[in-house]
Amino acid sequence: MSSGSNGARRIASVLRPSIANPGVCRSCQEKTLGRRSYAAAATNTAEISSSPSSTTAFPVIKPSYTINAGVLLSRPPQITRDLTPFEKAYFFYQKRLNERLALPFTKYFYFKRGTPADEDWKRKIRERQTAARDIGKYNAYADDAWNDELLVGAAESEPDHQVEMLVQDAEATVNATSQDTSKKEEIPRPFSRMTEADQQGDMKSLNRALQRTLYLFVQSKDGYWKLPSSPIEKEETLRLAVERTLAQSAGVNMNTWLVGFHPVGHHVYNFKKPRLDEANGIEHRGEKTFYIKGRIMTGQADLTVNTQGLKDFKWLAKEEIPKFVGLTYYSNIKNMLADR
Amino acid sequence: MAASESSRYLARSLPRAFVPSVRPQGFCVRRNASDQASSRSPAVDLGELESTGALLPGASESEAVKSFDPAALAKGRKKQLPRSRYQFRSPKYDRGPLHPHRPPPPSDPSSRLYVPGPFSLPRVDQTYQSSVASDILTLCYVHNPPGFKPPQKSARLRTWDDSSPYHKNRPLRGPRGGDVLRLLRKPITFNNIPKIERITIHSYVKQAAQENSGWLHVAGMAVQAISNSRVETFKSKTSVATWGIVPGRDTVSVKAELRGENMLHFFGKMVDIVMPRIKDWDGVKGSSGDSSGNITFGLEPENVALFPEIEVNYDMYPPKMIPGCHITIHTTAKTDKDARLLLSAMGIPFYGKMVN
Amino acid sequence: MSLTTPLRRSAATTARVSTSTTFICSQCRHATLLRRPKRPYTFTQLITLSDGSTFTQRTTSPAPVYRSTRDTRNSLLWNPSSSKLLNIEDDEAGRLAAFRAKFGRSWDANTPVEGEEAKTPTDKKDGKQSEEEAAAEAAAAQEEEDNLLDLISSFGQDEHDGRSGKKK
Repeated sequence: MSSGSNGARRIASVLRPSIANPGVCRSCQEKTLGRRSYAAAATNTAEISSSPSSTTAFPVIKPSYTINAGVLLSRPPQITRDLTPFEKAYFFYQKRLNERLALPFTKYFYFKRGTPADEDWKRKIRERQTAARDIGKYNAYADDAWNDELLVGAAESEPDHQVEMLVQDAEATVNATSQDTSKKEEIPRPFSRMTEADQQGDMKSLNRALQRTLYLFVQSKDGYWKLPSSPIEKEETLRLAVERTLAQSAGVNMNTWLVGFHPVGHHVYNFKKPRLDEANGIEHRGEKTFYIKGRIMTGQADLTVNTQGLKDFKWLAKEEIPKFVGLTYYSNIKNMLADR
Repeated sequence: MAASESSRYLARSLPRAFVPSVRPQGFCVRRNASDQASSRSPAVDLGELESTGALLPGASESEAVKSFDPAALAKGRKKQLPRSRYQFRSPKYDRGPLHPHRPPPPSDPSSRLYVPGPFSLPRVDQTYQSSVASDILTLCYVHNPPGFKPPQKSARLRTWDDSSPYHKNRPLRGPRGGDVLRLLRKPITFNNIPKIERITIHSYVKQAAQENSGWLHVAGMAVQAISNSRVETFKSKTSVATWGIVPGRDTVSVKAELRGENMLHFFGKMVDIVMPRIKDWDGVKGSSGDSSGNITFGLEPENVALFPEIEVNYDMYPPKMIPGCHITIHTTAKTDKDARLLLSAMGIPFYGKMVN
Repeated sequence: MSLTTPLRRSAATTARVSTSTTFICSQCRHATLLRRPKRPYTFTQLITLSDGSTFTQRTTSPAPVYRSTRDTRNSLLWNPSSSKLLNIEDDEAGRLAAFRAKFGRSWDANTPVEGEEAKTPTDKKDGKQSEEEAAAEAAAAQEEEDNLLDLISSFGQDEHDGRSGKKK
């Protein structure tokens, strides 16, 4: 039985590699295919190197694809991300646990006895029963210290609320210890995490979606959206081509940094029907675009001077991209994009 | 089972073997588990989950939820529950695995060894995760074409030439010019991107041996204040005749070792607040490092006093007793070059000749 | 389990051997004290950088808010391309201007050598600077008359703006 099944399997495996089998997941199949081709390549090179008569190790093949250089220009996140509800609850609970387990606050190392700051501190402690300001009213040494869980709808675990408590505490200290009681000191609150561009839905602004990585997309003259790219010219490295592309498409009014010299991803576009070039006898099958990663430091894209006929540009976060680009294009570029 | 499966394969693949493939073989749209998930509409995904959760803001606001008050409930109870019903106290001693009364694991909040935390998501960590790590991965990528075989390197340990019969069964010799085997630098891939592992703050106070132990106490308080963690003290291992320090007798140094959240907060405030305020400072020397990815630099006493934790009660420290310290940043990089790449991406400036 | 049993067995055997020979004075309970880890009390602190960006951190300091005046956002070492920070000449208190009015510019760290300055015609920026300086100097004109150092320092700038030269 076993031998029979083995035989059948062997035949199946012989027949399988030519066509994608739905029984095997595609990525695995590609991997095995790729491995096979690598192995074949390795044996080829080994043969070539073993025979000294062959002069060209890499035979020159006329490219049937146009090679493009693309740039994945991104603006990294500017602010910390919003916490998930679980993280908020977890951090808050750990803070209250810490209240019980850490050494008590050494007050007299920070406030000299009898000074106004000391009096102020005592008054505040009487009020909130603990040294920390961001855990609400909770006394870790009292009889009901076990009651350390927040009830539904409590605001104490929200970071905004905690920051507000800190600022209010600072204001109270300033007002209590200052000499003239007439004017109230205002400590500036942190800026909003949403900007004007977010509220207006301005996708051209670099000041939007501060928590996310934004990517520069341009609209070509045919109306479809893509990452900036252009064909590589003769005697030009990928990096140089990318720098040229950036200058030609989005202008020079940007302070950018290209990360390394290697592409981070590629996209292959096949024409529906191969175009035959009579002059050279080359069959153009499509385009291959290789993307180098870039970071924008300052400046803004400017399409008024572009030489590629681009119509529009947008700074998009990862989950907004599928709305603008095709499914195939997105599936090719999405692994280059950061999650956040 | 196996036979039926293979025959199924056979039945499937036989007819297809003779059908010419329509699609070009080189290109096929990749479909992975991730894009299957993303291609489905979020409504379908969320439909499987509960619409309300205890953690979500719009949680169920029923009458039972509103009126729930555990403290009042406990007060209203006439008879208290026996202590053993709600309170577990870990044994004070660990008496080995065969003892019937075992302490809970350290991760259990009732354990005596439990350390709560983390309390926040540090900013430094978020920067690292969102932009620094991927940039380092891109920068350190080395492309090898298919079929590339790395040149054979000679063995790191030398063998003995069998010139003497005594060479038989001897262990291998170390490299020439020293017995130290340097760390091997493996190509940086997605799972070994350099990151900060721990930070050590170390302060050697020679006056602790010469004058009194007050110096050590002040140094310990200062280091504890800037690092959020308790310090350890150490005795001198070496003899320093000019300072009158005898090994094994004089306690001369304090050390704090930071990991995790404490480390990230310390790193953040050191880079963002303290370093820019140091007068006439052009960065960390490029020749610093132990050639295996750990970078050390020193802070003078006046620089340590710039930390906001010391500034806030500067008067409480006796004058001129704030210590200087050495700060070692241990990274998972295997060479100093990688470590410097990481640290300069995180905001530490380097100057001078870069030595690997 | 499997790791610990031989250990214990060996301990038992040694104990048995030792009891046969000598009496053990020290108590051996094979118990380790579980010490509670000591950690200082930590607060959450709001840190405001000089450009207004804020973040919270855990710290031992009881101050709720820390406002920094000098940090990575306005330090030249971290912003080498910033032209705003490059201008180290502005002194709010005017002490630098007062010093220059009294002693001239020859004490500046980055003044070009006088000979060079005389040879090459000074560029427009230098001329502008000297003009500003001349305005500052006009305030304390009388004691400059005999100031040789100042004469030397402004030597060569005279042909560009004759006004200041005339005043001297």
